[in-house]
Amino acid sequence: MITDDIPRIQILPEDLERMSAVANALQEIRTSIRRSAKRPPKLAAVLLAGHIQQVTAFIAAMAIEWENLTTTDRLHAASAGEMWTQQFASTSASEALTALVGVMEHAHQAANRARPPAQRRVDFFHSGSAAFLNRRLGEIEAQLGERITVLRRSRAGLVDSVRRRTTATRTTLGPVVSAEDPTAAAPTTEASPSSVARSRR
Amino acid sequence: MTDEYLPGPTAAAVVQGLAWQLSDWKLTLPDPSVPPGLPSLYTFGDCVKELNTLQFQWVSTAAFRAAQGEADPQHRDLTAGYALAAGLAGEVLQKLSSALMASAQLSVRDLRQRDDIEQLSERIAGQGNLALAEAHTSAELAIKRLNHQARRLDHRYDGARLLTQAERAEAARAGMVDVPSAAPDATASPRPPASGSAANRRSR
Repeated sequence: MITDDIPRIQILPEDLERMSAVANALQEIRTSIRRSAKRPPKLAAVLLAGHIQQVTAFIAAMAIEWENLTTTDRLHAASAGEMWTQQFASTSASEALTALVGVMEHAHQAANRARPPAQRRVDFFHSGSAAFLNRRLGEIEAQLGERITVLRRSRAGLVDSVRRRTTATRTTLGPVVSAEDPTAAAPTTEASPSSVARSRR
Repeated sequence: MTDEYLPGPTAAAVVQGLAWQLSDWKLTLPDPSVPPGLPSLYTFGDCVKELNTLQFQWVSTAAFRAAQGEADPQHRDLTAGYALAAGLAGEVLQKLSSALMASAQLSVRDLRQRDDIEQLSERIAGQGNLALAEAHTSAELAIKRLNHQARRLDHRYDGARLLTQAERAEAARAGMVDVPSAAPDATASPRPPASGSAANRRSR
């Protein structure tokens, strides 16, 4: 039941779109990491650097969105998805970035353990690191997968909130608006903070 | 505002602190070199990791503060300051990762077996050094923008401290100031640098 005594958090249709877009972008990074496991290990340096580039581009895009958000008047009336999506995605990607750099450092150290500093860049990859690399990439991929699931579930929760709100409005006003597409039916609708919180869990 | 401005509980001082953190990080950034020279993958990895840590902290702080729903203008400007720092750091991070990619390409064994190894290495190293120079410029601009923002905030609030909700309520009771809408204690200050940060490394 939706009560009027709880302050409402807006759910804008573009928030739902943004959540999808962000989840899809993270999914692309995840897929690319998964594919790396099938590539020749001797290319590990370039593959890892490629993932690092992908992730940093994603982080930069999220951070710039955040910056734009907070330097406009919209911040105060920021909506649920807007407040949370970029931050969650950005910090998730940051964790993945730290892990990727860690993998790269490990592979580098393993390859250069017995080499003088002058030759350090020459041999990046050590065959003994292949299993480690695959395992760590698998872990990073799984972690990203969890974050993507959270984003998608949250989006589904918000859509559900919108649908329930639309249904409640229709019950009050009569069957005026088709709610087949809840986001289209309610350009700006609201949900209680508790329903948003539930959807995030 | 001068460079001797000491960090204190004002939005200007906190934003100034963010500029210092970025300046501190920039000192660890290797200088571009003459191709085919290019800093190692390891060096770039370290720089990326450190900047990523800073960026993570700033995004998290901005998000935490924004979620408080603070209405006090100085608090809101500080939140925007954290977001600005995070955005600028993201741009630097992106440039740096291009330099890292060049370094990675140079480390691939297949490259060294090619006949045109010298020309190719020089070209890749040139691209890497260019990206590194862009990262330097980008970091320098970011520091300037944060310093500029700190000066603006200093000017706007004229050294007024960031007050907690309790302090503002107290001041309102005393009839001293208007209290904007409720918010928890959001007087934030920059987090201490993570262990292993540039500052710590230099002091060791």
